[in-house]
Amino acid sequence: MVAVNNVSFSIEEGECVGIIGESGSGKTTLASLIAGFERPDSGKIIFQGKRLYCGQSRTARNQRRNMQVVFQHSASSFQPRSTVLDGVCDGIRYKESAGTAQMRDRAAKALYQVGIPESYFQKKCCELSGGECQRVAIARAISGGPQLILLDEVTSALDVSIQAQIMHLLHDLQHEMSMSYLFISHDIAVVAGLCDKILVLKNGCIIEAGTPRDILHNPKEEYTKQLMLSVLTL
Amino acid sequence: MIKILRTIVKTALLLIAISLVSFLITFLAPSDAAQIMLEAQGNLVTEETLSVKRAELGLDRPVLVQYGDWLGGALRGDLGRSFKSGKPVRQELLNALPNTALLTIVSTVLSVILAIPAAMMSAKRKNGLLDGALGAVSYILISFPSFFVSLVALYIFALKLGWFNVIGGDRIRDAVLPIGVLSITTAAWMTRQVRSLLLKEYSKDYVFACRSRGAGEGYIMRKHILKNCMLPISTLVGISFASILGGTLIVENVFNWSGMGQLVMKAITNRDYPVIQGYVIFMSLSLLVLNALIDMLYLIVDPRVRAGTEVAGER
Repeated sequence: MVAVNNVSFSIEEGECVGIIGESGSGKTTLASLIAGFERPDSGKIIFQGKRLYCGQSRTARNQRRNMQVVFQHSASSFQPRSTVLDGVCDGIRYKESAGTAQMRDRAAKALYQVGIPESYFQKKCCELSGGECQRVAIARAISGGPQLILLDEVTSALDVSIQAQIMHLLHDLQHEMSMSYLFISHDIAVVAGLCDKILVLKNGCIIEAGTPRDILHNPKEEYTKQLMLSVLTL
Repeated sequence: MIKILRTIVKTALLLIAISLVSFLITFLAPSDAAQIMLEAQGNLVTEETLSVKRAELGLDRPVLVQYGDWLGGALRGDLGRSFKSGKPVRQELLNALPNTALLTIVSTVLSVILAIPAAMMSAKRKNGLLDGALGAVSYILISFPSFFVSLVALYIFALKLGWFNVIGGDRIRDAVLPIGVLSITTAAWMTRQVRSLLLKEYSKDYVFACRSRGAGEGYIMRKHILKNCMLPISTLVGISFASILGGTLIVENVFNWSGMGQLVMKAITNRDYPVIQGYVIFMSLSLLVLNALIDMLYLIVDPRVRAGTEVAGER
């Protein structure tokens, strides 16, 4: 079965690219390929001018340290026994050899950036609400200063008001830190609010690409119109 | 505190139940201890000598009276006297205990030392050549009964290579083979169990997330997976200890190692009920105390168990 086929696009430094599509359209497979979790059967992915490796080789691991992933269900992406502060330290630990105190300082700074107060630092991640946990996951992602963050359905499991908070946070952080985002979602409204460019994925192929204005105001494909309609009817 | 008290009461009730069952089972055995003893002493076995011997051993009384008598003594620390040697059972057991404890403790430690790295290598290279080889060796060792492995070890290392004494003995050097057999057979089982635990942990989202941040497999295994598996592994160590303690019954006899296993095997042959009963109680007490300690360890280490919100499927 071919999950992703003939897909080609680029993400510039500081750019936010959104990928939208229904469930099963190949969004998560595409993210897995970019994150190096899966090996493409053919084709190549270039990251920072070098071909991206996958697997557990040293080169692959080093490349991955400049790229962070934020998952839909972030609570399960933390070590069950780790505290909020330790969990965020993980984002720095693998990237560079910083001392414990320095690492904790940087983790605390990242937590302040996402609006998590100090009183939360020693809590277990499983004790947090969905929105708080997503903020901590974002703090972990930004703590190591990555060049690219893959955001895989990060707002899908949150209620509308928390979704808006997280979107604002991501927007502010991107401007502050000049990072690139690859934002994956099935919700076109969420993607349009944050991204500079949108790719519409159907059956593993990009069927339409453009700026949010182009896609929202002048969709060319029937599939894109249906995606927009599904948001409007909600 | 209430949980600890409940555990103590439960342990005491279980011990009484076990002692009653074992007492009844030995009583229902078809042979007659008095007859066996008379024959062993070279005395003439007649109805008269038998009834004198039964009265001397207290076997002519109703079974529940005998049990009540025994239980009363046991509660005061007196497990009765051996029919065969006439010595206090407690003394006989205590004399044999150091040898059995040596086999059990060293074998448990060795099996853990062998099993955990083997399971880690196996899990890291799941379905690889090493995993397959370790799996095959483990299954072979698990399939063979311990007496067979003991005999093979004796044949190779004592008879063919001449490294050890064939008829065994009680020197430390003579403990090497029984310890080797007990630890290798237990390590084989434990390797498979720990491997399953590690693989289950491997499939969790946080491991995937660690990998996505560029963490090495070795680091993930040591710092995250192994740490999270320590509680279930401690349960496995407890089970292994119990299994090794039970296994000493066979292994001590094959290697002629004079521990509790050999003592009770002789007692079974001679229908020496007080020694059998004492052994059963000692074994039950050891295992129940071990279980209680593991339960308490869970209470201390895992906050979810302490709060009564134990995660299903974790134990």
